Amino acid sequence: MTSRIVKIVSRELTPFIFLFGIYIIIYGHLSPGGGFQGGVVLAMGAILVMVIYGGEKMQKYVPHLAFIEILGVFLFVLFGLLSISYGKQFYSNLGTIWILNIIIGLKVFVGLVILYLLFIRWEISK
Amino acid sequence: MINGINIGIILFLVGLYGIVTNKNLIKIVMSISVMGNGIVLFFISLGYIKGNLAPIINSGVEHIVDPVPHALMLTMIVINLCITALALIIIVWLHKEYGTIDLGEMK
Amino acid sequence: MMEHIPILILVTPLLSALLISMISLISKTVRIQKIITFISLSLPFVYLFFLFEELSKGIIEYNIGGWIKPYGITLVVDELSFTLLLITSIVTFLSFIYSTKCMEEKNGKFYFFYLIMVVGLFGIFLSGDIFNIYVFFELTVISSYILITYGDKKVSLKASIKYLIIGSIASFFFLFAIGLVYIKTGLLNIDFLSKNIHLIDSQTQIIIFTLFLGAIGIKAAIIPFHTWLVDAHSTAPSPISAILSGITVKTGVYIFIRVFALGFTLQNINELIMIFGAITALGGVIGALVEWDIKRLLAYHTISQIGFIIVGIGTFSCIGVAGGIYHIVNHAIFKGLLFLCAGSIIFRTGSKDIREHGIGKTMPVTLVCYIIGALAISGITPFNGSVSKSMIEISVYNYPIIWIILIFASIGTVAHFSKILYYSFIKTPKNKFQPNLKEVPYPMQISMIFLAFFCIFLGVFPNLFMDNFIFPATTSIVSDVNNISIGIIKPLYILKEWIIVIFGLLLLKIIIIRSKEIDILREFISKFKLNITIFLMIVSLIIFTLILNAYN
Repeated sequence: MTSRIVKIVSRELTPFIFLFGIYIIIYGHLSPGGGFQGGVVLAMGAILVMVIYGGEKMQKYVPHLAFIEILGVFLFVLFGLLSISYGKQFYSNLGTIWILNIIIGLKVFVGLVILYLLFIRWEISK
Repeated sequence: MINGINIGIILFLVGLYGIVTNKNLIKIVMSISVMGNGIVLFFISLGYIKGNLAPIINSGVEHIVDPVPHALMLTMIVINLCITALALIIIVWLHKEYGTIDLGEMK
Repeated sequence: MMEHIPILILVTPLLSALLISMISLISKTVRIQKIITFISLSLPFVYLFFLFEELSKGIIEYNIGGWIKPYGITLVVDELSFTLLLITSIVTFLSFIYSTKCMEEKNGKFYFFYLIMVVGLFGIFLSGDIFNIYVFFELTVISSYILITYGDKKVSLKASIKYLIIGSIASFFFLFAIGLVYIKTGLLNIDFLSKNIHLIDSQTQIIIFTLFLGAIGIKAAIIPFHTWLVDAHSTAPSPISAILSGITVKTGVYIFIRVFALGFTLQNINELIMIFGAITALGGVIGALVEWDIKRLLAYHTISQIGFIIVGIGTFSCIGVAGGIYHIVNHAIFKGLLFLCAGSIIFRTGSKDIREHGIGKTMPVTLVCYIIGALAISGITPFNGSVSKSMIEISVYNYPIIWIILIFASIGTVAHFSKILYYSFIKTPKNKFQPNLKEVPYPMQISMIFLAFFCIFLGVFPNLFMDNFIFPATTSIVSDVNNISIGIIKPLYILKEWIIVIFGLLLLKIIIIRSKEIDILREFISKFKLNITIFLMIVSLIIFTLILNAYN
């Protein structure tokens, strides 16, 4: 995975993949897409770079990424409780569904990157 | 004859056949994934009404297909992703313990 | 705040699980995680206390997001859900106390998965929507795949992957059935479906019911679909085995009750369900004949008792259904107790084979709790198993063949539990000498004592529980409920139980004498591979479809 063409093309292509992923997340409540789908596209962009350039340098960031992921789920559940404090039922429509999409998109992106890093951890240590 | 419902059922049965007859664990996981996708296709083509448009709110669109199966399938795709990821992790662990990923040799 | 209790029951363990996960990234000891889990597993009791007062006014419904019933997801609490929520809280709380000493943990991730499993279990019993049951069921089952791997590594990984494959097939069958129901009626809410499902034509109803039976049979371990259960429950660590055998298998039966009560208008379903249940009850006992591993014995008896419950529910009469639901409660309690006792023995002696134990006088608390559990599962009078087993046996008086099969299953149950009692506790082994066997640590003793207390309490005062919970729960299924009060002293039933005990002890004598033929049988049974078992499942489902087709 280390030929020069592959390295240059992936370096030029990755920002567009990220842009497309963020577009899917933010426009999720108006057009097809949403949190989960955009998160997967973002993760694909990051994993492309890690497949080509090797994943050793990112291994030391796994606990930090795990913390962001758990924080994401925490905020998601607290958002539901927020709508209880406004007097309505759990997860009522307060006009803020785009925040939920962004939280989910971030969480899925970080989650899939952690998954990939843990899969290659055994391969690296062999 | 060839519509989404029939292809979905065929994919489901192909996946089931794959689980029953394969011995290599990775092929079994792939068959589970195929089966899941067959179910997704089956569900989405359940809501299809002939001649209607996609379920996106634009101005002036009146006839749309049923959006409920789409919402259910989003949940299902996430759950299938979790099951596939978990199965692959357990297979990597099994390979570390036994040295093989063939179900016949592991007893 | 009172009206938000159904959602708070789900959110509290989830938030605690996330807190534990965050803390386990930075801390070195497990102490804070244990405290957080303790608090979050004792809060459901408070919630259930408030729910009980509101439940007397009527069924509680909670619409998520404010969307009204056919358009949104609802959480529904009626008496059946309340009963199962209560025993889930009790069993998971006591299992957690047991696991604080039993599991050596560096990280606290075990408690994270434990709480996620509790969220999933609560969610299944709370949801009023058939797709929501699927979502929460997947949550439970995925966390149980992970929790099983905390046992000894080689065997538990193999058991976990087998469970994963078979469980995925079950989920897909369930989804297929939901899809067919949705295309024919356009509804997913259980309340609305129960009024509309008789509008579907008979052919499609057969296919829907068969697919539901396939999914539920795998989850609840009815006989052609039971092959994952013995490996999974025996290789898991002991507190997890108690929850898996006590509650997770019962979610299959709970989904069965909800689906059965949807009002399928097919002929002769009762008899077919009862035949499945009777075969399951007998098959579990026969499969246990060849085993000497204590946890595998208990897992086989789980299959057998689920057979009893399915027979009870399949009769579709007031006593049968009430007996079945009460047996769900009783089985959770005494099977949890038995698994915790087995875990205590394994914790101290280090081996799972019952011929190597022989502890007896050195572990008195475990011995007494085990005897209470064994008497409860055999159906001896002052304990809770006798009430529910007698109710189920009364309800099948009209079908003598099934009654005889259930009696044989009871005889086998008595035989196996006396076998465990004799080998594990009374007989000292020949070549292994255990010099330093003490009693297990105090938290483990407390869990066992509480469960044994519940066994005795539910057996001596059955009316207290039944009038408040079980009989209102059966009104959701059966239309004519007459409140029958169950007394404990009825000489005819006591005579029947003691005859069963005598035959069981005779069977035990035969097992001890003829152990060589039993070993040959064991070699034969252990040759079944995974592919053959799944193939048998599918063949039996096809046969079931053809039989139903012939009747309709």
